[in-house]
Amino acid sequence: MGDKNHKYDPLEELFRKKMKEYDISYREQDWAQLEHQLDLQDARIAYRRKLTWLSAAAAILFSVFGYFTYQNHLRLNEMDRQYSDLLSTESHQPEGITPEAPELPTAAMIPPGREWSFPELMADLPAYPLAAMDDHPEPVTEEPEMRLTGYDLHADVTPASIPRSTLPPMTTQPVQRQVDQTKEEHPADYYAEAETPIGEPPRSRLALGVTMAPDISSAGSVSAGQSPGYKAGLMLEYQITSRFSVSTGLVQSKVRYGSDSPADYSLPAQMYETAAPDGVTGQCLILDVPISLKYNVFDFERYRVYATAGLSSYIMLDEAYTFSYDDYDSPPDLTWSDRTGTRHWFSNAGFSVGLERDLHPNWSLRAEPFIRLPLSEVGQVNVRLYSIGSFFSVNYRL
Amino acid sequence: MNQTIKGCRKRRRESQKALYEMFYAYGMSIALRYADTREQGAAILNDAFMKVFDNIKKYDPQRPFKPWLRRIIINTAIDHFHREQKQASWIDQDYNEAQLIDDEKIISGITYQEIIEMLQELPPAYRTVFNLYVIEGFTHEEIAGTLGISTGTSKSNLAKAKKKLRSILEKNLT
Repeated sequence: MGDKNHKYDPLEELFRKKMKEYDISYREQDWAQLEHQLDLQDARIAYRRKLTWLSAAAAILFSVFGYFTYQNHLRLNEMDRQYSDLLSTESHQPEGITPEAPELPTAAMIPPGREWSFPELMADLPAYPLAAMDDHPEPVTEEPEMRLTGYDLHADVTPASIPRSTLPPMTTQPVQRQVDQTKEEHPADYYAEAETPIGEPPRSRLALGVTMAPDISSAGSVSAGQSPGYKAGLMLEYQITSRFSVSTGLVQSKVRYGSDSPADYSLPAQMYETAAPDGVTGQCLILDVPISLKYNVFDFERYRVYATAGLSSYIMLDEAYTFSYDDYDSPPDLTWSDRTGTRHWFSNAGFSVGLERDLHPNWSLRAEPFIRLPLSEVGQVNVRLYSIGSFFSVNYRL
Repeated sequence: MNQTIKGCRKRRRESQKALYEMFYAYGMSIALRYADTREQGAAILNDAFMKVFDNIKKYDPQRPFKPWLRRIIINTAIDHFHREQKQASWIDQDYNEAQLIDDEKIISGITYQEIIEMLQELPPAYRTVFNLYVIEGFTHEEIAGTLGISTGTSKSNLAKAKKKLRSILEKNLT
């Protein structure tokens, strides 16, 4: 206690003496009311624990799924590379050459009176790919094609009268087909054309997202966290290139933090005459205005793994603090609260990595663990605020 | 006692009830000083015990439990005072300057319950300052910091509380 040298006052002495002579009977109904509050609190704790396990399981599932997808992608790339290498070593066919279709024998070519002999006819015909007989070019293929020689399938030749014994044996020879150069010369364009059907409009560069996250904040260091708060808000993203995009938005954050080190905080100006406390716990409502750059590290067909880096500005909507004293003889705990509205521009740096999955050409889901590091102090108690958590968001391409 | 504390740390209901019953009378004697009624006192006590169970892991078993509980109850009572403090201006009744009767026999006959009832007749602001200064022993500077008032207001409220208590005492004893 403070000053023990209170002047003697019989009235004060009377009350001090009588206060020690308390005789209060126990009431079961008071315990019943407290038990009801404890039941509600236990239910809240169980619900939060379940939510934490579900979030952890979802994060692990995303990570495992992303890992196996990435491994699969690597394997496919490797197979593709090996196949390309194999083709390039086996190809000897001069490029761009299409053999001309020879003139095929017809009945008009056979001199009158001469007996028609099929082997004689075929002996003069050069070997040519069957595809050369067509007016329309073959689709691109890299596989060597087999052709038949010694047996003409042209409609003008009627082999019905050809004795089978005179037919030469059927043989096969591999034929190197003309390779379409388009894909090898411009692979990106090739796939781009294949993915963007003709007639459809180009995809919008703007996307709107609704995002939520549990938030664990602390003052002074990442490790000293209190009970979790939350973040919830809207984000707008603009895609600059296929890999880079920039985003901003408004995110409301409820942060809870504490510190036992006087070096991590200072008392508000209105409380400067108060004795220095031993610890502080704070609960603040903050409007977070982030601006960040996003880079797609791995871009698959329906999945993306990305990283972001950016800056956040904090607008303090509401601040409430409790300053505690450890010594039992110290003054009671002090509380201070106010709707300050103070603004701290670019007070925190943010970093995250995330996994995005497309549900639809215009809709996607994201899971994005993040960390926020302080660049300057915020709030009435001038704390350096650290935060970690994981954003879960639904995004719509406008 | 250690077993009860261990059980409270594991949020066992029977341990929590045992601790509540053990310190009910002591805790209520503190809460009633700050409350208008027995029900309000019970609300202050229950809120204080919720804080005890939430922070039981911070309690050092090597130190006595009563001072720690007392501190929590006082803090809770002050929180209640802040929440229920009304802005209405008080109309001070024109009490005559009463002098404390020196008859010790009569004074010693006053019961604890009567003392509590006298305190409950005080306005909350006067009652809180009186309790913190006279019973808990804090200075006016400490009281001013806790309640968010000036030192002068703390002294003024104490003087008014004592004046009113003298009047009530005089009225009850005559």
